Amino acid sequence: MKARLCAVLLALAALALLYGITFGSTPADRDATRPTSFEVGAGGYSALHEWLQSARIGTRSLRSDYRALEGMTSDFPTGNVLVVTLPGSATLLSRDVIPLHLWVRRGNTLLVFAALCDAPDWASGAQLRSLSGDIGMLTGLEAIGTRQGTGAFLATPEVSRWVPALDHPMLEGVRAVEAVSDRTVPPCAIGLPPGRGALALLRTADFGVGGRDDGAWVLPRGDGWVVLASQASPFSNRALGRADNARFASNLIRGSLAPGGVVIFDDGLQGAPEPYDMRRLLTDPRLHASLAALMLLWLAWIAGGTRLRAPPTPARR
Amino acid sequence: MELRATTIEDALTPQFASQLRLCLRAARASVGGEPLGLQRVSLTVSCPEVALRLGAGPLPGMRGRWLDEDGSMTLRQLGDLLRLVEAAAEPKPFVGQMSSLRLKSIIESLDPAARGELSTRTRLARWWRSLIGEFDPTQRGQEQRRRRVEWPLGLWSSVSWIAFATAALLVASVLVQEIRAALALRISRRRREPRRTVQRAAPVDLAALDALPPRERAGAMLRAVAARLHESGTIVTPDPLTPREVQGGARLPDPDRAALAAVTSSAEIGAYGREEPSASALAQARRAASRWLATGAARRWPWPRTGAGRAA
Repeated sequence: MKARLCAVLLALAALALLYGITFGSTPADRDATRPTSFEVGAGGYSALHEWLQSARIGTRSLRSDYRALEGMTSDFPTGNVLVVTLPGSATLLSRDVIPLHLWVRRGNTLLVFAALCDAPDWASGAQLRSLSGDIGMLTGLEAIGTRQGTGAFLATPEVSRWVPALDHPMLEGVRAVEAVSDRTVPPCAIGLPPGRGALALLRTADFGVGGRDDGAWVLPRGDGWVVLASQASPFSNRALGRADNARFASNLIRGSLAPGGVVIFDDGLQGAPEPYDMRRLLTDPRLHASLAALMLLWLAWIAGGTRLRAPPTPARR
Repeated sequence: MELRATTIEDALTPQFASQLRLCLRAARASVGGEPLGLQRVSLTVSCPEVALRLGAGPLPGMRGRWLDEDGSMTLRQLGDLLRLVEAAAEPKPFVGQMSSLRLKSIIESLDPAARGELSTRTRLARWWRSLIGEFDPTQRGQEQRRRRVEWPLGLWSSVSWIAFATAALLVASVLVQEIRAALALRISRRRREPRRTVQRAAPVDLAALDALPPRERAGAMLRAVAARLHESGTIVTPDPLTPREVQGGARLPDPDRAALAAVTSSAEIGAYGREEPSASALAQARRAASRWLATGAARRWPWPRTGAGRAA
């Protein structure tokens, strides 16, 4: 009886395990979700994306390199917004940023959310190594106190708070902005290279404590703007409803957009695959080279490797 | 010129923006068409009001010191400052309307986990993850080197010692249990096994035996011998079915085996023979049987080789 009970319990445990493995996790329940416009998990921007669409603001998903910005905004070349979240699953070194800078200088806005002073779950591992360089490449600002490794995972997410640094139209109705971290973060700060001016929009409520100087800055670049937030999570699904984050997002985007402008999410940097383009495939010279090599092999096989007549059958004894 | 520090609210005004615009226009006119904007202009000379406002130190809220010690800045810096002040003091109207109610419904339609609500399962998973830590192969530098040195001496050392002690305890307990089980089995077997009582066979009345008819005498003689042999532990059963069974099952030295053969032979003839056993055979059997029937309980087998078991 005891053995039978034990067997039943073990069988139930096996079933529960199978169920958990097969059906246990929903997309939103996964540990780490990337900050892309279509991601419905905690780290995604699907809520912001849907909110913009409901306000009849055009949105795009950038899946290829920054040269595609030109084509995506050909109807309205200025007054567009590009949302970039760092660190990406790929480094910016693999993408050409010069077209991005030209695009911004023409009169567009680049919003950079860098996980420098917060630590969402998705920002971990080797990606953090390139974070400082990526921030410098995109904004010209210098990240001080960049993390070299992933911090300790927290049982309860830590909430950090920003407060307005000045009275500014972008901060109308904004009293606080909150970010959520899943890991511990060492004190961090943003440094400004000489000869550049930046206006601090938000600053941490713990300003100066332990050398902390994080927040959000706005920098003019040509006829465009670069906005750097040293935390990546304020506009994510799980933080957009906190404090006045949504109000800040609304002000920032509506204030940066021109009529007819679109908001572009850099999903490609977060690993979103490029949409399939048959025409591009057919014009790719690598395809033609591969096909030519295959045909040559086939020809060689036909000409020299095949037996054109069946071999004579050995006589049976 | 007396310079004074100003607050950011003082600087981000339409008046200051218009002063900057005039200053930038004058500066551009003075340096000509310099496309990169790296040409320096002295504001203390061309725009004293602006230089006065920018003051001696960095503006609160603004990073960096705009003016150099000599009161100059580049055209690009002047342009950037103008754009910052314009954006703050003369904002353009926002595009579109974004309803907070709509956002609320969008957020509510998300999965609770995506909204940041932690279920019990998620809390447990997070707690477990925070407890065991995460594998991060990118940890480098001092932290990793320190860990390499300290962990074996610290936690991992304790863990390995605990594991070793547990294994030793396990082995010891297994050994103790095995020994206890073996001893208990032996003791219980002894307790359970009734002490073999030697049933004393009844003394044989030899006179009555001799008075029996030959067939029955041979059989009775064998039964009496078998009872004695069983009593001494030489055969297993006191009631063998056949005379051969007695002979075959008895564990006896050769001389006794020959004597037993004489007894069983006469009993066999008495039991199965057409004719009754002869007087000589009976007499031989009687002599042979006398070694058992004439004595009490014999000693257990094995008999000493000296033949002391025959008679005591």
